[in-house]
Amino acid sequence: MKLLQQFQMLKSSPGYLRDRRFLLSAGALGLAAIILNGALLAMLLGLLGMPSEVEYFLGGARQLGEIFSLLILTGIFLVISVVTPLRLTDIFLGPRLAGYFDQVVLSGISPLRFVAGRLWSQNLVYLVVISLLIPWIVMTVFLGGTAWPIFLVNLLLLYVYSLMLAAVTLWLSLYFNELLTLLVVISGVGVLSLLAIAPIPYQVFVVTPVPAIVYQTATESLAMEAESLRSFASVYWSCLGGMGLVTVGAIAGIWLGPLTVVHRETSTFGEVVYPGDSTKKRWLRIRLHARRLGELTFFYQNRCAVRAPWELLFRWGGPLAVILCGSVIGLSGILADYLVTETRLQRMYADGGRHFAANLGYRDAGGFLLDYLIGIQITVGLSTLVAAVAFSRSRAAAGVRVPIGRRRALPPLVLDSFCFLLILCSIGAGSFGLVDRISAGWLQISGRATVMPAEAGPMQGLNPEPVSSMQRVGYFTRYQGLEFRDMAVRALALHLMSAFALWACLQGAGYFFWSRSLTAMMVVPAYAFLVWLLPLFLVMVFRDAYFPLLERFSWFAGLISPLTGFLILHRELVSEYGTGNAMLPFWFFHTGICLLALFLLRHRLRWLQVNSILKPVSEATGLPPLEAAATMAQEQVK
Amino acid sequence: MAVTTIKISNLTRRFDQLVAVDDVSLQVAAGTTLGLIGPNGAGKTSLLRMLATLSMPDAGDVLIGGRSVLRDPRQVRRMLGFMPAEFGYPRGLTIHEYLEYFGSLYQVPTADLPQRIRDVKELTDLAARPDVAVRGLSTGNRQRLLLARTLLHDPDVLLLDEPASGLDPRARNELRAIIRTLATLGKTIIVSSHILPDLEDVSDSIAIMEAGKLVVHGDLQQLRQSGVEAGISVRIRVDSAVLQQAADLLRAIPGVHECRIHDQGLLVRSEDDGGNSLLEALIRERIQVQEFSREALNLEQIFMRSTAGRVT
Repeated sequence: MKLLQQFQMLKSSPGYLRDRRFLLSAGALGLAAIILNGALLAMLLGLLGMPSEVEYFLGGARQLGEIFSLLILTGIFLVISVVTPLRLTDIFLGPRLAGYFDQVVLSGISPLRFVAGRLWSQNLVYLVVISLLIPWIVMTVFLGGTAWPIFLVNLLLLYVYSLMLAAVTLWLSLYFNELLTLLVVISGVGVLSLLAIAPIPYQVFVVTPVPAIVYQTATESLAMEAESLRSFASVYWSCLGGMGLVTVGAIAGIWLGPLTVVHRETSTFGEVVYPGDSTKKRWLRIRLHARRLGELTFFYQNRCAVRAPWELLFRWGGPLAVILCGSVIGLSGILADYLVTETRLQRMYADGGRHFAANLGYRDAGGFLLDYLIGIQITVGLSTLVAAVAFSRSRAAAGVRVPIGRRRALPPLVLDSFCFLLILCSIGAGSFGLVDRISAGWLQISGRATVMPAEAGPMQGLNPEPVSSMQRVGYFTRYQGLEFRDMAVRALALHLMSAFALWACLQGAGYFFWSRSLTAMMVVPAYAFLVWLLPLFLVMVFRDAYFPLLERFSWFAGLISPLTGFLILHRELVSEYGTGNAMLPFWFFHTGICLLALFLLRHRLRWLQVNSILKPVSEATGLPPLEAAATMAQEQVK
Repeated sequence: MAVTTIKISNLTRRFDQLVAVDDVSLQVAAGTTLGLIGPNGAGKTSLLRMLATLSMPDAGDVLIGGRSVLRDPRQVRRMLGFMPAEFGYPRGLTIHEYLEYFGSLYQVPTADLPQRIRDVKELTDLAARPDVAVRGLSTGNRQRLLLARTLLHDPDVLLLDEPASGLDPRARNELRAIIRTLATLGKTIIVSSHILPDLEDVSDSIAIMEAGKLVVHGDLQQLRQSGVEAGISVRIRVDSAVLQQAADLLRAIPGVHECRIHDQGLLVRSEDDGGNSLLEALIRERIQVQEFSREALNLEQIFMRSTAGRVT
């Protein structure tokens, strides 16, 4: 009975009613039949006319039926890949441009029901196309060479693919205009299809039916060893599973609504206009299109209320679980690395060896703990990023509280503030720790630094004599000796970032980046990138040219990036001001910036206090701002 | 019979620096029609969009049928029929398909939809017209179709934004008749317009907005009689020989805003509630009063007197 109701829902969906008028009309179907049959006839005649070229192309003699069935499947795949996004990209933008989106909102229809009709009509079109193909499919049997079960299963995969593509297109159209959606979907499908047939050993997750479509022909053409090939069943299940997961994910995405939309409403009529818009074509105004409040409320307020209490779980818990899983896998890798290294070192020591490779990747227990903490910090940081996006300005602008369980709901701004604090507390340290690890790892890999057994040895029972495989005495890394200065630099950098992030938020950047937490997220990586990653990248890529430059301008380079200081401390770089003062330029310059940031912060806070809080009170009471502040304070005390 | 009431409390809406709706409070009783008047840019559409849950107020709240547009927007939407000023439609549909499309959008049960479409077409005088493409419809028929669509789900509250905009006099007359019919069906209606005679016929009460503020609100008959905040308006007929003397006399009375000779008589606008001081002064000077009557204002006069031509 419930199934019947769902079916009725699909049939009475406005999208289906509209498609029935155009897509499923007798004229449209007749035209499709003519084009389809014409194209297939042309293909068949072409094949019959050039058998030698086809044989050459496919690398061997083939029966016509096999080639023809491959062409039919490929043709359907291409048509689905292009027509589906073309047909569905305007699902949300169309009503807006035609001026009736408000009515869609007011109707109370849920976003899923709104799009369900289009999905349903998609199914019907697919079935019609398959029915039109039946004579041709039968013909492939007579032409010979077709593996029937594989052919039918591939048709099923193409059906799932059409569903997936429709769901993904609908989901992306929440975020992009038609052109961008089209480009993203079609190029994405192209790239993923190529990747799916690339010789990658573990293709457990493919999201196109291409590997299954080309399976028969490819296996015969490449003449691979039977044992090196995956069975068709495994290819089929990985395709089906991958596409099914993506479909479900996209539908869940539509249910959740736009997560990262920037709300902007500049007039009564909801026009969102920027300077210079009048001189641009609409296609070139690349922006997220669902920006008006009415459009946002459609996704948040009109959806099915039954699942609303689980929104927090969907929005935050889901991504957090994914990140945690990733983190667990990553940490397991670190642990395994640690254990393997430990075992190797001990074996080498047991063998009486006095030398060990520079790039052994040695970590002591403290190092492992640091890695673990970094992992945790990054996990928390990434989860706050997800949260910041999920509880972003779109949600706040829509004024819809986020349900926490069945009875409680929190305003998005509270969650945003919570995320903001988490970011400031965690991700800074995490990202810096990561960069430190990367730089240390690179130094080891490049042979520029080795572990110093003199310091590590006694803990692990190794030979205390310091020897490097590179025999570059004086280039030993003294990680343990760096800890205090290292941490002090990190602390300074973290405070600086916090100050900048706060300042950026108060400057109004929060408006452009949707929320304070996201603004902080933008500032922190930008800072980390400029002072850490960019110099590191330059060192790694242009080391031959870069090191002489660094040695020459070490003061200047040291001002900008603490990496220079670290290189001097690690004795990778000879500096005129000596190892002891390696961090001095960074400290000097960045403490100044930090003070400046704090000054700007204070200035901004005062400005906000005067203009946003005291000015209205001053105007209302007729008192000067300071007296108004005093009055306010007295009232608050009362 | 509908029992829905609209209660607007301290509603404010800003667009950056512009205050489109400024602390507006008013009530609309169930089953009555409110005419919302104001020049272009007065804030009428902003107000209606907030009532329709399409725009979020910066301050204040609206209760429709006891439900808040802020806290319970989905329930409010079920009670509402909003007819926007712009006519948007999916491309390529005929009148019937258009109504069918919106009927399914508003989740009218499939079994009831054909009858509902017939009813609204009948009500809006579309039944006799051929089922042509929406794109080719005249402005009058488009407005009819828009109204038919608004009525499809049988809402208790109708918000009609400039329904007569662009219509010729005959079509406006027909539209007024439709609105009157809807009022008899017990709908609570808010009609916005700057075409004042359109509202005069159909409104039970009037709200005048200017520069985002509500400058006048009240029962139309009372406003006509009271002459709006500026005082009363009185028509006095005296002997033509003493007409000028009477005019000078009345102008000298404190509280008289205006006294002009018009059509062999005097038109006086005064703060005095009953006009007693005017009558007393004339009798004291032994001027024979042939006629002394309170003049009811039309909507245009109320509008002109209560607004100063400010726009946001």
